[in-house]
Amino acid sequence: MTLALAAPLRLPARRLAALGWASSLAGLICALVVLIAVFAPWIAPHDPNAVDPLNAYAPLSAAHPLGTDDLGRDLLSRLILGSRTSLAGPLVVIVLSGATGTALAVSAAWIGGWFDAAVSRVLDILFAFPGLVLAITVAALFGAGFLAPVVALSLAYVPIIARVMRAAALRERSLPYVEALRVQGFSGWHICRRHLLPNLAPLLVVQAAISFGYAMIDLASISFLGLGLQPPAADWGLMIANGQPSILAGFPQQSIAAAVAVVITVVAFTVVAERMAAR
Amino acid sequence: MILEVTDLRKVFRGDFVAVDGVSFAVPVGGSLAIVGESGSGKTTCARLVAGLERATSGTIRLGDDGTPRARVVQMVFQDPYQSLDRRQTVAACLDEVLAFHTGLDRAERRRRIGELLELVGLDQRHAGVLPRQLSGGQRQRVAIARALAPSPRLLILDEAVAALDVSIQAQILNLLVDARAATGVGYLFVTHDLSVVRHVCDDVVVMRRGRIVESGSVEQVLGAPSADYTKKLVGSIPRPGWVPVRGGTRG
Repeated sequence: MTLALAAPLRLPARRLAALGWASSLAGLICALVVLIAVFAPWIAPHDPNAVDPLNAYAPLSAAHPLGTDDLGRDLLSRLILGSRTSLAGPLVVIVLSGATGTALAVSAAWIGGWFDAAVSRVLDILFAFPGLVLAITVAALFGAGFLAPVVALSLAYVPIIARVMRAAALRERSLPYVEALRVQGFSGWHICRRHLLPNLAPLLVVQAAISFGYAMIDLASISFLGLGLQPPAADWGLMIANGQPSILAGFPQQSIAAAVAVVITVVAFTVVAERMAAR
Repeated sequence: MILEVTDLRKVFRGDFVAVDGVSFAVPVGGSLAIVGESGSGKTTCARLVAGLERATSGTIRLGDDGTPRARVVQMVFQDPYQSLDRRQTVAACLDEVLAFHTGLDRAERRRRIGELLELVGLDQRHAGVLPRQLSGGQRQRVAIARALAPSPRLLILDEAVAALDVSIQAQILNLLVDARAATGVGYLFVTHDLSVVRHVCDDVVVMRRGRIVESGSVEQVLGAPSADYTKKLVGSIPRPGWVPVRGGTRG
């Protein structure tokens, strides 16, 4: 009996090449955006909230690489600081909806019967309700800010995650190793926690990464509508909205810079997610 | 008797009778084969004994009543490629069972894992690998080691060698004979393949359409079958020199 002890070792360089230049670039951008968000206060050249009316609508210069806004605040600094809330929002959404959706999906697939039917119908109803409308309604009821739209959007993303995870959990549950574990005497709780969830984790990560992009756009839309973070907070969606009046005045930098930041980040995260899903 | 099945009946979805009044028994350390073609109800019998299905009527008595079922009876499944968790190393798989069923501490479990691997013809090199790095035969050895880990008194082998190459089948059958001699575990050996029965079993029951058509010792049933169905089954085992009858020359 021979045994292939050495797992197929791939060199990092070959691995990178196999990913293709597009996803390598996307991965790089993701890493960069996250690093910028983490170290934002140290990277930003100016205080993002320092008002300087004499310097309003300053053109692009060495001191202000993206110029300043109507109050003379440095746009680059606001963009850098804005990455924090703009990433934190979608992150909270995918963590909340991922955890809730997976818990619902696995328990529905495991328990089956009426419980599965009930969970599936509730998810169908949630599905029929547009996430953005739900978030706007909740923000109207509980007030604008960071938390209300994020929680509402998490709820709206639960069925998206849960539907995929339930199908996967059903497939996983039907594999003979689950029956083997039952014969071993393990409880359903143990099997779900120690075997089903670890086997479903890669799929969950991909689902979460795909949802991240969508959640970012939705949250930016909510901020744009004025139901998310309130001024003077720096947030990309809010910056797009705040820059609106200045566009007609001939100073479109604020809206354009923030919009480009949203688009680049969303595309980068989605490309990486699709690449992971294709594996 | 480690297993006594009396008048077992299993009806699926109201009308399909999979097992219809079946009785058999396995003595302590004994080895009973259940043979029959697909749909004969033999696998349903195995699943009923393992506790994976609930009997419609009849009784299954397993050893003394106080012991949890998993410590009395364990099962080895047909498909070695899917009956192991693909993300769990061999050692982790065995350790999980040992931690659950025995009061052994970490060091004792490590030693016991070594013993179990040795019992099934594997060694420490295999402990840290994932199932996908093992061949079908090696995976089935791991599945047998896992089933033997709680020191059960009866092992159900549901077509446990059917998915393996013939040469690997022989190795696993030899392993089963050795493991029974070493541990005193009894076997309930479910198979459609009469040629592997003689090697591993003392007694045999022949099932057809949910009923037992013949039972007795392997020598008696396979050597001098009395039921017509058993004669057909025994007659259909391919032998060296056997030439299939071509279409048109029949009759």
